[in-house]
Amino acid sequence: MLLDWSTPIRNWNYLLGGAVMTLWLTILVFFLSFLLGVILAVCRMNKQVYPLYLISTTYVELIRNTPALVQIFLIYFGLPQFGIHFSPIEAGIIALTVNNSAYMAEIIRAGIQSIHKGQWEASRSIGLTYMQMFRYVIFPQAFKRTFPIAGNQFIMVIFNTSLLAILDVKELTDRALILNGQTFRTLEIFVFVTGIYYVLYFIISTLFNWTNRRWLLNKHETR
Amino acid sequence: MDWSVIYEYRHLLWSGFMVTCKLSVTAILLGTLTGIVISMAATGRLKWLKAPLAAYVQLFRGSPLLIQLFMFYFGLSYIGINIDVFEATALVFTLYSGAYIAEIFRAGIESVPKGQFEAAKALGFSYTLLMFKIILPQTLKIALPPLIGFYITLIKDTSIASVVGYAELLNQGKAIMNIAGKPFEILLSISLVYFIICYPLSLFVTWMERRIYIK
Repeated sequence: MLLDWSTPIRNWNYLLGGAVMTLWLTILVFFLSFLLGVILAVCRMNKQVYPLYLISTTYVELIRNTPALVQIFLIYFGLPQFGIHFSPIEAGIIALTVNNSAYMAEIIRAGIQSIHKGQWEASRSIGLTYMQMFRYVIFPQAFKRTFPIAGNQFIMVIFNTSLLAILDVKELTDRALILNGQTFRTLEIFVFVTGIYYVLYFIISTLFNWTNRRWLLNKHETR
Repeated sequence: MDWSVIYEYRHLLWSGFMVTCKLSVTAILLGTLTGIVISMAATGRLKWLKAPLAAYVQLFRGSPLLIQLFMFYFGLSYIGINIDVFEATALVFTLYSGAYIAEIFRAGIESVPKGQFEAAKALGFSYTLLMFKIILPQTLKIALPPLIGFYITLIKDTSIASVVGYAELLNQGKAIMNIAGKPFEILLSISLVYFIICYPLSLFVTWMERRIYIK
């Protein structure tokens, strides 16, 4: 059995379009889930407003302990039962955002809670307002600490978008399946597409690591 | 909302649950074994092993599980290797989890102070003895929370096997949806099953992390 790599190479543009789609989906989902994650994290850190705390905690725990694929199915196949219909791409973006926001909430919460209590006390004692405290003291430190973890989460979202192939969202994995159905060059196509994913992963993780080392790592940080 | 469908098709769901358990346990056992062996080899003295092992770990951590599944399940039969869906899925899940677990253990081994290695060498320990008696027990203490955390991810990821028609919980759910409709009730029940398995584990992870942190 001779392997013939001409099929994926000839369809390079088509596959690259899929990779671009994958990246777009990832960036959009990551951005939306970051916003939702901030809200969830704030609700999870204030036990004073107990109903909000309870709702956000329940949400985060439910999402983090059930598979993303089941969540995608629930939104795309389950909700039409109640008359709520989404197109595949809408359902995909909503499901992945719902999924990822729970993880983002935990990452943000851990980042803020990892800041030593003395930092809060010190900023209060020099008379900073609550907003200033957050803006100049807490946020920069929390950001530095969370950045590498958030970077890993971003890569996880890239991988999760491949699940949307099941809804026929035309991202990279879906295009590999379509191409396979047309040409039957199965192994070559899937190996090639795995390679594209790896290159994507490599570029993005290198970028994150470099940013972290170059701009964010602070060796003199006090804990 | 009509929950009678769950009771009616309980046998299908139960068989799916058993298959999910089977795949999870297989992947956890074989993946952990693979991961430990590879992390030991990657931190060991055989220099020529390092490049291929790093390539394997990088490849499986740098691509989605779904595409790996397609590559092996469709790809192997394409080059004439007969493989049934359980073998293919078990193989992919083992390789996938092996790569992640190798990385967890490698980080654990590297966090053991160098003096431990040197002291063991000075006492004349063989490499095997040093690893199993001194290094791995200390590694396990550090690696256990992320390891259990990854097991949770892995159990959830077994649902991806439904895409290639492997008869686990979600796939059985899809089958029932095709017969009886009621997708919402079925999918919610399936979510609950995963939650009942994963949530205690994640509480355990949180508890362990807190204990390590206090120490």
